Amino acid sequence: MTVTIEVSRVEQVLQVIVAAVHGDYDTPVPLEEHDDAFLEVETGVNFLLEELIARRSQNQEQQAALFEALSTPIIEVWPGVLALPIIGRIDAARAATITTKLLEKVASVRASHVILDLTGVAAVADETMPAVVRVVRAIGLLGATCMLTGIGPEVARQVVALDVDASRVRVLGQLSDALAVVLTDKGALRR
Amino acid sequence: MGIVYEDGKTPKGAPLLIMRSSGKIDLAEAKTLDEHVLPGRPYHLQRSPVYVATGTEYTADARRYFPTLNQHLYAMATIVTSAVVRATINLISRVSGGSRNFKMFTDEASALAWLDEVSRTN
Repeated sequence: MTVTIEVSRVEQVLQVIVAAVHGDYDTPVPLEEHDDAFLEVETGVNFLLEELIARRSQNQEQQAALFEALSTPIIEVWPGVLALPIIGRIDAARAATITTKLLEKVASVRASHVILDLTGVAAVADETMPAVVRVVRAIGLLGATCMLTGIGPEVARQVVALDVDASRVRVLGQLSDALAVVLTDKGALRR
Repeated sequence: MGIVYEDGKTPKGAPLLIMRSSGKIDLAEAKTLDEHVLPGRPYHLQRSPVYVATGTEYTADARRYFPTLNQHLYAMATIVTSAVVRATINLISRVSGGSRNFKMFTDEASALAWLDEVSRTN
């Protein structure tokens, strides 16, 4: 079978393919009532674009779900003792997620101590420390002691500058220091 | 717009589920066919002529859903005059692996005659 196709139609299909290679799936091949086999090729390219859009959307949803799961990996390291290693930047939205999940966990296990480990926080953005402090205050309202670990002197000064109730938050060098405090508080380790 | 269902008969008197499609057909619209053709429903394993209007479009999930219902019809004759819609339905059929109880026509008389003569093969 031989099909004669106008060059302009082939060009249109190629342009759509080039755009798709660059991540633009939103410009389909314009379809006209050409009753030939190439119309099925044009339609097929549009089908592919729709599939790519659907898969991109699915991937974004999966990534968002994975990010949320990884953003609050709360570990009960001892009965009543929670640890949350925080990795990456904390903005207001993430702080809200952390606060919600952490408070639920503090209440459900009746936690006495919460360790927020900031070792994995590469850079402290302007909004990060106030967000962390809000989490600390919320934990304090539930009666648990909060410890911040993995932060350097500069960040410690930031915490002090934010006027945090010192009886409700302790700043320690490493996660192991916090665990030692917990064990002492629980009478499992002598000072 | 969507899918409209009617009763009918072939020239030789076999009962028909007539479908008329137009506009944008999404998955919810496609699933209205369930009420008619799934096992236990009144048109299960009946013949069906499907009139598809020019400009009819199918969402990706509707395109995937329709071929799964072929097994619940004795035969389906689609009457299409638009080349664009025909190309779309051809591709839907091709992607799903095709079906021998499905055929496209450009005129109603040929479609109804085929529905009278066709033997169910799958």
